[in-house]
Amino acid sequence: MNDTSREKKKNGVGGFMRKGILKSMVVKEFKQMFRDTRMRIVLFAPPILMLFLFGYAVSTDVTGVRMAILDEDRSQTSRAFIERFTSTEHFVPYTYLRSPREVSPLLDRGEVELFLHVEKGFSSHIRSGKTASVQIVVDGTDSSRAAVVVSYVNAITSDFSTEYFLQRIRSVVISKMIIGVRFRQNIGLEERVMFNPDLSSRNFYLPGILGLLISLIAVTMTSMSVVKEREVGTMDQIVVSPIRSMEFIMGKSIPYTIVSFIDIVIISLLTIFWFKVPFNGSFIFLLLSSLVFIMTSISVGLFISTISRTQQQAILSTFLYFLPSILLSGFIFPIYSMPESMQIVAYINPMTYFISIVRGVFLRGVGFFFLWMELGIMTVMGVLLFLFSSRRFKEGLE
Amino acid sequence: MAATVAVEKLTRMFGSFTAVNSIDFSVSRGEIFGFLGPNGAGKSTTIKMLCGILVPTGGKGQVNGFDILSEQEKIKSTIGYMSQKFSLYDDLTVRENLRFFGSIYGLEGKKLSDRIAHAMDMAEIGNRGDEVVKNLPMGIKQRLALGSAILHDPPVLFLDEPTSGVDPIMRRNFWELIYNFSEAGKTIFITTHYMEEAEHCDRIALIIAGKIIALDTPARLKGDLAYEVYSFSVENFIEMFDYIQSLDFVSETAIFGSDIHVLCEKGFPLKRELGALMKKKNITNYHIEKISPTLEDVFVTHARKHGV
Repeated sequence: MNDTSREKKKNGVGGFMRKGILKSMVVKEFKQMFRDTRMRIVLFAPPILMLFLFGYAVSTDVTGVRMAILDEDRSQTSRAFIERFTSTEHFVPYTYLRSPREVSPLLDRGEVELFLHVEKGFSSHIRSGKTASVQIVVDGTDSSRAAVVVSYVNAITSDFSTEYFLQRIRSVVISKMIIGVRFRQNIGLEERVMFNPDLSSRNFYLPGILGLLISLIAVTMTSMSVVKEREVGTMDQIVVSPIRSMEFIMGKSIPYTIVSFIDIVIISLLTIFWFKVPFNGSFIFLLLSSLVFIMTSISVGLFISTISRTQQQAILSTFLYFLPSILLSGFIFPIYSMPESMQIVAYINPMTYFISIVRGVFLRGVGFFFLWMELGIMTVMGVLLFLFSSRRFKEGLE
Repeated sequence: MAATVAVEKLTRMFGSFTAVNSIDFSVSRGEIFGFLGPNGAGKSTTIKMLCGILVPTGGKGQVNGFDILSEQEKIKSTIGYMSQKFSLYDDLTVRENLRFFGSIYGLEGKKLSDRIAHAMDMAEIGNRGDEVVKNLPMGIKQRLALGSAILHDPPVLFLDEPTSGVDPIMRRNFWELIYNFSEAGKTIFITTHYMEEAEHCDRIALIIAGKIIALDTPARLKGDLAYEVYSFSVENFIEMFDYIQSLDFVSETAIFGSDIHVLCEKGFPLKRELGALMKKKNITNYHIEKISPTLEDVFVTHARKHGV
């Protein structure tokens, strides 16, 4: 009887754990974690630092585009047109030119990003109903920024011409009493953006940071602490002791889960109260999902510890995992714009689901009812990863 | 009386490489049993199989009456193990280390505190129990590691090259502890590649390329040597070493410090023959004397015979 049950314990990953031993493992791990100041800082400072970096420094909002202006028309209309640009926060007049030739060096040096050239005859063309021309040159080095700039320019231009025509229509209608005349430009398209009305990139990125940070902390800490034991030699002592591998694995996982969880709470609160990112969903649901995501990350860390002999290797492997998992998660680049093969990778990346849960909870204010599938997929992945990693870990002990 | 450790035809293969090749031995209670061999001879592999962390690919064995194939967990809780690698947590204090290692062996409460006190006594920690292990001198760490390995009072102690990297005085202190254990009826299984350490053992197994090639008490191993051993010292001994090695009546040569050990058939008048040759070479400043063989002579002879 004893033999068969032991056989089960040996083979089954879930071999039962003894509370006393698990407790001393956890206590020991916490003591080591908080023993030196450096480690204490490492656990809590980088998450907060990164949050502030993303909160303040990283912004894809297009504001303060420096522009060079050449107004050859020098009329009231042309000045009004230029005013349309400079009165927004998106554009700043950098310099006024006298000749189109002067712009080239400015663009080359990156001093200006946009060149606005109002040609002679701008106002007279408009008055006579002909097409008035305006030329713009945009620095396309940052293609997405350039695209946004062009769209702003178009919007301002069409706004301007619409208004101009509206005035004319009104006058036409009044004087000739003609009803039903339509001008192409007088149909105004009004856009309303839901969920992130300011289209602020901070609101978009900050919640995603949660995923980034947990993954970084949980994966690195877990893999490093296991590999360190192997490197120093304490693992040998653990292996010959009657401690079971599940007790060891859980003894490592529990403390790092708790620390990651605290990090999540800190970061969420800072995001909501310091950066004022709208939080519309359920905090409980967010924490629950975080817990599941921490589990998957710790499993990845455990896996990395089975393929790394030294701490350097562990760090390297962590980065090999970390970068693709961020890039292919929709955190920065939308998944639908990736090539199909990469999309497949994105859909087996647990981070993808966590990012979409976090954004859903923060910005769209949805909860379990809409995100149960993401949570479900992530849970299944977490469990599979955990089983796989702990099995590998067990085999590695031999 | 049943042996504490016994193996029969114990074998471990790694792929097509045979690390341990069908070895047999048994160790009785209270014995200090030495496993002597060069690196890679299969010492650590054997110890791992005995400790229940490596499954043999052939043969069988028992430790403390538990089968090494099926009762690893029981074996683990009844043995002490100390490896060549330093095995305590550097960043924890002495007490925290002992508490942790004691508790994973199921010790708790009064029993645990008593054993911790005992281990600290043995390691002569004094009042440094709350110091971080990192700051302790090497000798104390070594003893502490040993103390930690015997917290649960195991009847068998496996020591895997426990004294590599330790200076001779510490090594001597360490051996005093080992003798104490043996007197207290504990069985010691120790691997080493230090010859003088092997001399301390009750019995030694010489292991080369996965096979036990000799197993006996140190005295008998030396007595059984088929050769006579002479110590030869001369001024430029490195040149002479090659010359002596080439002589056809010399069976083995080995350098010991600045001396050359010359082995020849029993009864051969080596002193006279070599003296004549030296005279021919006009070398007068030399010294030769017959000595009793050391374990190293035994080891070298056996190793050469097995083509190492």
